[in-house]
Amino acid sequence: MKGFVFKRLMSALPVIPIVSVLIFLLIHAGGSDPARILAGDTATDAAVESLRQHLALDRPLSEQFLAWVGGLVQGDFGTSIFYQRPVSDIVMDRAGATISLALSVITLSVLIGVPAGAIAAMRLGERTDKAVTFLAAMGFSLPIFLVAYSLVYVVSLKLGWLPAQGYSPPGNGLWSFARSLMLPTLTLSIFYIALFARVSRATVSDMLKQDFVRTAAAKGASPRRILFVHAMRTSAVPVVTLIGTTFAALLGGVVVTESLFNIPGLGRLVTEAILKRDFPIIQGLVLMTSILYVLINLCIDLICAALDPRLSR
Amino acid sequence: MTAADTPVLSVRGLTIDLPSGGDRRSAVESVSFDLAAGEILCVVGESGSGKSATAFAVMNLLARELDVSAGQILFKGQDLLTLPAEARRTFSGQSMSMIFQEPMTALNPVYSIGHQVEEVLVIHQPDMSRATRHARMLETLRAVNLPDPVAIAKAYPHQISGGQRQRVMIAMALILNPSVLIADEPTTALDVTTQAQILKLIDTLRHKRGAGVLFITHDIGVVREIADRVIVMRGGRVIEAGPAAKVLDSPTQDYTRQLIDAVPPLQAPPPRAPVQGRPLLNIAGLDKTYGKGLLAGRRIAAVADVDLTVAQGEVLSIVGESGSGKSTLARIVAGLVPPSSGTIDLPKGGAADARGTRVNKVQMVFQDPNRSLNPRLRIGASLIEGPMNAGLSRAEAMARGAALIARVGLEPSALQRYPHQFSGGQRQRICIARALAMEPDLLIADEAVSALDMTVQNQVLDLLEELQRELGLGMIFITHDLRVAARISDRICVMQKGRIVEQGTAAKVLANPKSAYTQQLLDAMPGRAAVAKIAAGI
Amino acid sequence: MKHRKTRLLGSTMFALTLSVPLALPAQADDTLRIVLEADLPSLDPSQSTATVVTDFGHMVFETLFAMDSEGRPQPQLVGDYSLSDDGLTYSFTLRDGVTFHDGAPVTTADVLASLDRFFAKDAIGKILQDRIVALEAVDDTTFTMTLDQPFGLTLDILGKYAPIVPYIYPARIIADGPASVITEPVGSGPFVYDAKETRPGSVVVLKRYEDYVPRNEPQDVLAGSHEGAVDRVELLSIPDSQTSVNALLAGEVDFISFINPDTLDQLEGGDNIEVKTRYPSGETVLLRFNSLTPPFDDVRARKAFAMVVDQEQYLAVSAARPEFGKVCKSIFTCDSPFSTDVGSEGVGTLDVEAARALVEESGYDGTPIVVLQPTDIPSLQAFALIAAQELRSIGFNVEVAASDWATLVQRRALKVPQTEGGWNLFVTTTTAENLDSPFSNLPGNTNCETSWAGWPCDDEADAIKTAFMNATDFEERKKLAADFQERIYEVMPFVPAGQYVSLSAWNKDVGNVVVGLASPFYGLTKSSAD
Repeated sequence: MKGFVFKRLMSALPVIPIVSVLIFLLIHAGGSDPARILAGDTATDAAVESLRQHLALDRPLSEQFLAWVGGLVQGDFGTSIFYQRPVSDIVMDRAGATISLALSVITLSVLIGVPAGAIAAMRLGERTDKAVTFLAAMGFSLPIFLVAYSLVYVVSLKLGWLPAQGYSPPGNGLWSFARSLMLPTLTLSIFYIALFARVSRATVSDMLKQDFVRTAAAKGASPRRILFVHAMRTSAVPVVTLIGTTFAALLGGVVVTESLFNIPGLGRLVTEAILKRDFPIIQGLVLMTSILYVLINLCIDLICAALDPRLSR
Repeated sequence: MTAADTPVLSVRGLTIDLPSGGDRRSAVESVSFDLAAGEILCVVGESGSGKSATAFAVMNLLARELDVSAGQILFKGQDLLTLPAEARRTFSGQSMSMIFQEPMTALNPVYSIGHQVEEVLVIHQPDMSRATRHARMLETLRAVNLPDPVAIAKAYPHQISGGQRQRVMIAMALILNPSVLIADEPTTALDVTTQAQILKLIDTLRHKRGAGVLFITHDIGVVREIADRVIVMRGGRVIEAGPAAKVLDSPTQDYTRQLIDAVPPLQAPPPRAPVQGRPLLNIAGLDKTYGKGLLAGRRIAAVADVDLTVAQGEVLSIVGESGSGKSTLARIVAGLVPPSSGTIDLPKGGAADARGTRVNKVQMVFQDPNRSLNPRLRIGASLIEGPMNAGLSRAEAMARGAALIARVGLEPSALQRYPHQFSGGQRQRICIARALAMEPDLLIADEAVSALDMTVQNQVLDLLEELQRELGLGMIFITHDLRVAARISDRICVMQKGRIVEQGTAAKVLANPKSAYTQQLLDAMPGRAAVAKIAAGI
Repeated sequence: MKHRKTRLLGSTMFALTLSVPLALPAQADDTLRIVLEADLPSLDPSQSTATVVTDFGHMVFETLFAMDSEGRPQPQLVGDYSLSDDGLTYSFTLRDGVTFHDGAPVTTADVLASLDRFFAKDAIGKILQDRIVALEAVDDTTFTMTLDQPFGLTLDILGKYAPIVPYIYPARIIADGPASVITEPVGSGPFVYDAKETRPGSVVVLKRYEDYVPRNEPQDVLAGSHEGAVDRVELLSIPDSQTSVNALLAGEVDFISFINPDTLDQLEGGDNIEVKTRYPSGETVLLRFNSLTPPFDDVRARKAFAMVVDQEQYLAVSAARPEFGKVCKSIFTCDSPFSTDVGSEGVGTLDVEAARALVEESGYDGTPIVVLQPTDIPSLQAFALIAAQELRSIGFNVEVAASDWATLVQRRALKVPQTEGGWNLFVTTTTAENLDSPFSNLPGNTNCETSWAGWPCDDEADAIKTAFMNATDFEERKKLAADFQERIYEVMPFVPAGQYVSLSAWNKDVGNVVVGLASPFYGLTKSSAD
């Protein structure tokens, strides 16, 4: 197992320096100038120029890159041009909301989507299956803003049960934290429930066709036992992989949901940083995200290896 | 009536309907038979004969779209079909159990062997203590002659051999001492030597435990080996039944005779004149080692130090059990896998380094025609793809394709159809046509007939033989079945563990094997006793 | 009140369903939540001309003088001041007891350092600086300013309320010189920036400055008392306009700085919501030429386009309802003191034939011209399309270059011809403070390459502007302003394309909303009567 972890790490690690160079080049290739945006629409050229000098944006690209890498080596991801705070602080500040949202979305989607898909798979072609398939298709095709606005209109404005927007960190009380996450979680989960339902329906129904399921039936196993012990357990690998990549994708930020519910998360941070050309934030965030992806993928591999002994070779 | 004569299982007028729109109304029609304790009843038939459907109906494993519409399945006099699902489940695994064709897929890949064997106890005797369960499991693994049951119990299916897996399946089936064991082609996927051992095990256990065995097979050789009684099925009906000796030696039905005759006799073919064609392929000192690089585990030599030649117009069979390296060798020759060292010389096809040329001059036909055709492409499109890649115009390629389709015995309309509209044999014909469309010098057939019924297998072999002669092809025929090799080859080459252990003309190798391994393979052939009789008669 | 009842009932039901004790969200009633129209790009008001930065700046910092509702500068941080009889030397004394948020008293050293920073950052500040002969501290509370000749706009400039605003900073936070960026916004204003609770890009938290010393006069726009009425203010950035409307309707925020016109009906339907403009002078759409490169280096080409600019079309896009838009052919904001029609005869005649002829006469060679279009700002995106259509109607080949705003401002800074990556026309909007007089008029600045993007060049207009600044008599100024407009329309560095007001919305519990040239938030009250 140790060898397996080591091997996976070694094959993933080189990705990080490559990503670093690539993002740096990509971001600076456009030649956009954050100083001009920071200074504002009506600023004079002289003001923009002095700002540019102050921010060291007038240095050659190679020099900027070396400075950035130099900082990275010491664990310094740089300082935001606009917020004038360390990138790591800003990201940590935003990460809470995004991680909370991602976790709650994953939890809800898995708890509903996977069993729904599994049940549909057992009743393939029957009414239950048709209902699940139909709802999943709906969940896929509903535009997210429509879901968000409708939920807010009914639940927040008409019923007044939950806040219409905003994020309350757990430090401000767990109940208001939970309340602030409910609508965005629900909004986002509709898609992911549909996704998990579809995928688990497909995998489980595939598994139910496998010979070992027939063996289990020949042993006298009940349909329940066949579903849970045999079909679902063997479906776990693709489903876990999907959950893992979904989680990674959610951590990368869910821009629309974060905007619609005014959640200060990473998705909004990165879009705003891109629109404003806050290079250090973009670079830092992409780099951290790629490291995170590597780690998440490693975790997925390890979990899958634990779930399926064939994979740990 | 002695206890042994009382039927433990009695099937009466069993009829299973097919979903409407199929080519026949029922999968099984009015099938009746009895199975006595301690008896082996073989059900013989080709695919589609209804033999598996019958077995599945007994075990309540029929696919959802299949329905038993009439008849009775009596277990010790009780009609199972009238029982509710839950009650019926108590029989499965306890009173009746089943083993399947492919033990690799029949075992759940993510649970240990011990866990899966114990599951039968968990289901049927939930009150049994953990320790008792474990002891019982180990005891049963020992009973099926598995070496080191403790280690096997901890292992996962992929970590043990095919023969061991089938033993595990048998252990799982017999752990609760059922009165009926249904074996559905339990040895078809196994190597000959393993097959012989498994057959012997089943034979021994039914005596020891007194279970009636319903043994389903398409292989007359196997029937000859173990059957007490035989029923022959065709098109969902029982067409002949009786004691094994009677049915096999003096069949009353033509179809039964056909089945028996389709089994290629395992006898040395008459010596053929050595083929005098120019050399097509020269292989010298070929090695293939898997597991390179720093982080790889142990290295495995899949092919070691192989020297081989094939001449134009010559058929060379490579025979060996799974893992012998015969398929790897075929892939290396076809250019699909690079060798680790050694030379492959294709004098006619130009330099071996020009990979494109080699691919064109060497074509392959694979074992599973279902998987080697793209299900979304019409046959025509599959046929012209290669020639068009090689530079032919669409019209030329299409003309060639049409001619070949006719040559392999299919209607021209086949070009417009999709793979799923054909039977296995037809699909294999299409694969052959596709290979020939590239006008190869050398054709490699990798277990090309193994997945086919005996009669179909014969037809495809006939076709291959004809084409090979007509076109003067060199052919490498990879097979695990010595009978097939005997029939088609000029020369035979026996491989074991990546090395060639024996090589010579077919007549010589079969009649006078030099290596102990070849002898072992010959001995393991099912039905060898009968053959031996024939051989002795010569 | 009906609304509240429903809400309580709903909450109870929800709580019962979940069997979890329902704690009401911790919403302190003395917190004022204000949604700004954009994320604060910087906490340094001397670095950014964005209006949201001024919203923040007015809360935290103060100026020496501040504008009243009449547009006159009144002393703010300054207690007393005097002007020598020759009109050349000002003597300013700071108010007593005023301290920065770090507890340090506001001294003349801070003032002089802050003015230096302002002069370096602001074009208008530079004008004042050029006239100063000596700027000296007499002691900790008194300093003098000596000019080379009397300058009637001195106090107006010290009380400038549009960016860059001459706020007074502690000398220590700007010690690194004018180019440095302030990272610790410490001021002497009524609210203290709370770095701990602030979430950059999401919420800026301000807390009432307990030791704040207000002026005795009542608040009058920016003049008079700045004393805060609530304990805490949160300046929020909510990316989606519908979300902020929902938040206001749900009572989660109190104030929306500027609403999206599309949400007007919904807000007006709200129970306890006020929708009004805080800036009656509104915003003006500007169509800006690149006067450096062909074809708009030729005044005839510029004038030809000015003829066919149809303000109604731009207003149809920008004004929430017709009554919020106004055709205005003055380069100064209409209804402001200097607005006039002089010289505008050639603007918006909609005479396509004459315009075509003029384009031809200008020698336009058919090279496609580039109109910059920001895709992330919907109104500007539409304006660019209208402009492109109008340009095509008079014979120009037009290429609309769509990009995000960041890319647009980057390209806008390039002086090369459009064929080499430059541009010919862009569209933006600006507020009265950048338009309402010859000296504040940003697009009318014709200082060649140092003026705003477009770089028009005209000595005569510049001379009129100088005369305007030197003039002390209002009537004289008015005449000079008219002259200035006439000359600007001769040069035509830009075309005004309509004036519209933006609307704000707030909960009726909020009081003391200022309507005028500026509308600071510090004096807003929030009735917690429930």
